[in-house]
Amino acid sequence: MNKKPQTQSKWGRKFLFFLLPVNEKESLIGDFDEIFEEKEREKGKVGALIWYWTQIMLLVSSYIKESIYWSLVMIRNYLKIAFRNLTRHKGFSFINISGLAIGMLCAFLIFFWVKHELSFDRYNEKGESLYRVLQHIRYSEVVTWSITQGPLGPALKEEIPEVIEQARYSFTQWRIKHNDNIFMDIGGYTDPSLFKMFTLPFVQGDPDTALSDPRSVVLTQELAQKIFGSEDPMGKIINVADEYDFRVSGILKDLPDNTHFRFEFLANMDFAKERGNTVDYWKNSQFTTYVQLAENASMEEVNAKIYNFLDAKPTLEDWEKLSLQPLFKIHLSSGIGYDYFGTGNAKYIVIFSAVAFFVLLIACINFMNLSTARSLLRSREVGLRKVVGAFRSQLIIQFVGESVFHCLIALVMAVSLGILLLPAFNQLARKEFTPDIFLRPDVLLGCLVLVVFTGITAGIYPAFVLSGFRPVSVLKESGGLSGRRSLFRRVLVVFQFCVSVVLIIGSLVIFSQVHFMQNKDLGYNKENLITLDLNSNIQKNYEAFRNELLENQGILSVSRVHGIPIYGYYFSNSRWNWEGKDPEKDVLFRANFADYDYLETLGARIVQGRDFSEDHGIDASGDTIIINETAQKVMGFDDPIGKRVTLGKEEFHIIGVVKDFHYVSLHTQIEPLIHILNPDRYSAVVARISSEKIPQTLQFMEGSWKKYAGDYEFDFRFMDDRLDELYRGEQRVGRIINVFTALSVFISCLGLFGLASFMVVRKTKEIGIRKVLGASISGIVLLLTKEYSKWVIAANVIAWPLSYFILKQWLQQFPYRTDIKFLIFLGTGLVTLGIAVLTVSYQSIRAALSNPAESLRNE
Amino acid sequence: MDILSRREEQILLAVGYLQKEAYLVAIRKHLSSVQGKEWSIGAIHIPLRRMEKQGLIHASFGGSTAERGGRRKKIYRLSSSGLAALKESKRVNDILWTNFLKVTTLSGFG
Repeated sequence: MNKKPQTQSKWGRKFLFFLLPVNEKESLIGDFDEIFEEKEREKGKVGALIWYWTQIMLLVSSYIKESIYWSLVMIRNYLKIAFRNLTRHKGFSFINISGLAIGMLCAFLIFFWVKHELSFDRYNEKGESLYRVLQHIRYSEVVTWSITQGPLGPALKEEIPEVIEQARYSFTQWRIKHNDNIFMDIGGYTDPSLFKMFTLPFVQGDPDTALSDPRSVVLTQELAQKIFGSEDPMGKIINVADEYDFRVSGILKDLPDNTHFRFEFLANMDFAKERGNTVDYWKNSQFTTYVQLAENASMEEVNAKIYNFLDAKPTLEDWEKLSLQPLFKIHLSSGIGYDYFGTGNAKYIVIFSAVAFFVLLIACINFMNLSTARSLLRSREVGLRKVVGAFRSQLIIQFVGESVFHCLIALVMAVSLGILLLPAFNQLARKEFTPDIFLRPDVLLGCLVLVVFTGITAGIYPAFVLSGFRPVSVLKESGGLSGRRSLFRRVLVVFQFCVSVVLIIGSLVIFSQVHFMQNKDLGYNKENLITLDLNSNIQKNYEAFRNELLENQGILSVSRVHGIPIYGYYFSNSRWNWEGKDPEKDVLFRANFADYDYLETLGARIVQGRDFSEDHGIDASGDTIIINETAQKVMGFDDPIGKRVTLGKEEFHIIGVVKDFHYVSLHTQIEPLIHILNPDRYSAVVARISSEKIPQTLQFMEGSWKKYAGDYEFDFRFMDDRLDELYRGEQRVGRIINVFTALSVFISCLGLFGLASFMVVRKTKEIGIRKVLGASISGIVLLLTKEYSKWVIAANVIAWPLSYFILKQWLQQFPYRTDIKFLIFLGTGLVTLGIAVLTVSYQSIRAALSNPAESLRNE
Repeated sequence: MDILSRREEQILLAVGYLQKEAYLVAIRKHLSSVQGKEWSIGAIHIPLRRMEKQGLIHASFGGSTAERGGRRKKIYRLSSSGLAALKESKRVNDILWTNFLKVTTLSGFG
């Protein structure tokens, strides 16, 4: 007896304390202890302990059974009530849940897009240790290129110990002939080590030997299928550019779509060398150089080592520096020259993520707002539940659970809608998502988090507010709470409309910027201008081809050029020299090779001097140049005609000045430009045609083309179409933003609609009394509409400066940009107000028209 | 009033017999010793609770004693309705027994 009972089983007693009924804990534990001691006397300590724990286990099992039973009973009740509420307010529930579903849908789609953008090149197993070498060159400012000199890669591997492997890659386009079928495809020349560094699985062939022969080529499955159909492509011969025969030595699995380089075939770098490419030449940058670092090497250390690497090499420019760019960062770093396949834009990732976040937030706010509003009608249910003994925690669980349940329904809706709309979204965003993306573990986890998070945030507020009611006051008051908490709801509505207004203004400004770029006067006439790729056949017979074309009335002018005013295919050089040049200041000049009448064909205005012309024999020497106004300004000539300009040993004379025109896209500022006549460097034919009888003219052109070009296709393009393509990026972003703007406005209006109808229900009696006392219908509508209009106006006032600031930032990236017009703000304000008033007035008018006898009858 | 179940009847009888000492352990001990079989705590406690709710017994807490680590005993006593229920139960049992004995020829029932 003197033994302390605590020593028997401390844990057991704790257990018992937890399991036993509240008011009998003490006596029962005492009973247990007493029997335990008796058992101990009879059977010894072990036997007693066994008995004790058996009892506890029995208790635990019945405890669990009981609590599950009762919680099941309660859950059944909760579900029943939730379902009844859902069906009793069908319209309300629909608005509430579908709003949330649409918000979720937006979040999903953008999440997929962002995820895909971030996944670029991640499929490469060694990706962590792979880098691209960037070259920084100082002209008037420092420019960064993704292309480097041919000998650089091998030199880096030899001289920098951390660089354990390198591969060069040079972009090319091939005209492949097989059994009289012609295929134009893009690919590259590369070192065989590319296969060791990147994850490029072979379907057929051996990566180690595939490119050992300079005349071997590796094709992707897709291209092999296109060329050979079902035949076995291995060992087959394809003809390239009518000159070279290549043997197919390997078939690669198709590249995934999240890769920064794309190619349909790969050929050996040695072939490029054989064909006169400047592979061993330090003065020409043409190759993308990839390096693999040793596992323990750090990028910073290597960067420090290679920064001045080119100083000791016989390169073209004085100031050329190198740095490494991690493979995974390539896709999202824009602003690097010569990224052939276009990059993503980290800015858009931020913008879209923000949009998705806000649309989802609006939807959640709405959901919260409506749930709160509606749940106030349920105060009596809460009162009754409390009276019959519900704990506060039970009520909170009930309301949170109900809102999680609604979220689940919304999720199901969102996923089904998502599967339905995926093809449309793919088209909009240029991606290839398949419905099974919803089954990926991260998406599933995201769904779960979304549902739980939204459900809890939406449910927690009404749960706490409602569960805090005092049952007496709730049951006594006829209508529950009125007016209270509406400040909070008001703030939420204002916030919602703020986001919508920012989005509307944003999409309008993006649209007007795209419109501005498409319609800005480019300094030449882009209409009715046809471009054709120049090929060897046409080049050989150019004079005849041109003369034949010019005989047609519909063709006004024909010329050849190196770079059409679309891409930056220009030669850049800062070594130009002229009389009076400041020797300290290097200026980057762009140079383009243009044939006779090029500027005239383009419709650019010559402000001084003349265009290249066959009438002046001197032009044929190639020593004459035409500069643009910016170049004139840089050179500082008042009267530039006849001035001498040199480039190294070469000497040129200025014969004309052309008014500045946009010779690359409007994303770039106009820089000094020099036109040189050089028949060997042209790559395109341009022709100005009359705006009448275009089909006939084109037919005629095709006839002449066929005559001179042999089997090269007549692949003509209109200049204005090609220009439109330049702004596809912005257009696409604009379109995506438009869609999400429309959705966010829609969701906000749904919310407002719901709130208004809720308010009308609450004010039914007030309206009835007002009518009885002689209020007019318009007076009542105005009364109900006024309140919401106020909020929307407040939202506009907050959103205007905010969106002005954000868009000002966005527009900074364009050297030629539209003004942000005040009209856009005013228009947006009026439109949102109009929509809000329309939404609310539907409910108000219905309420105002109802017969007061109906609403007052049941008092 | 419903007829008591057999277990309830036995527990009530034990409570009545033990008088001021009628707490769970004592009831259990008494029943176990009479029947010669071990009763679990739950088998006694659950009917006790039920009958307490029905008002057949009243409960009060006794003073704390050293033997139970200072924990108080919950002591039960019969209420008047408990007593009435026992009487009713006995009446029914007696009649049933009498009727049975009148006709039985089995040995051992003298």
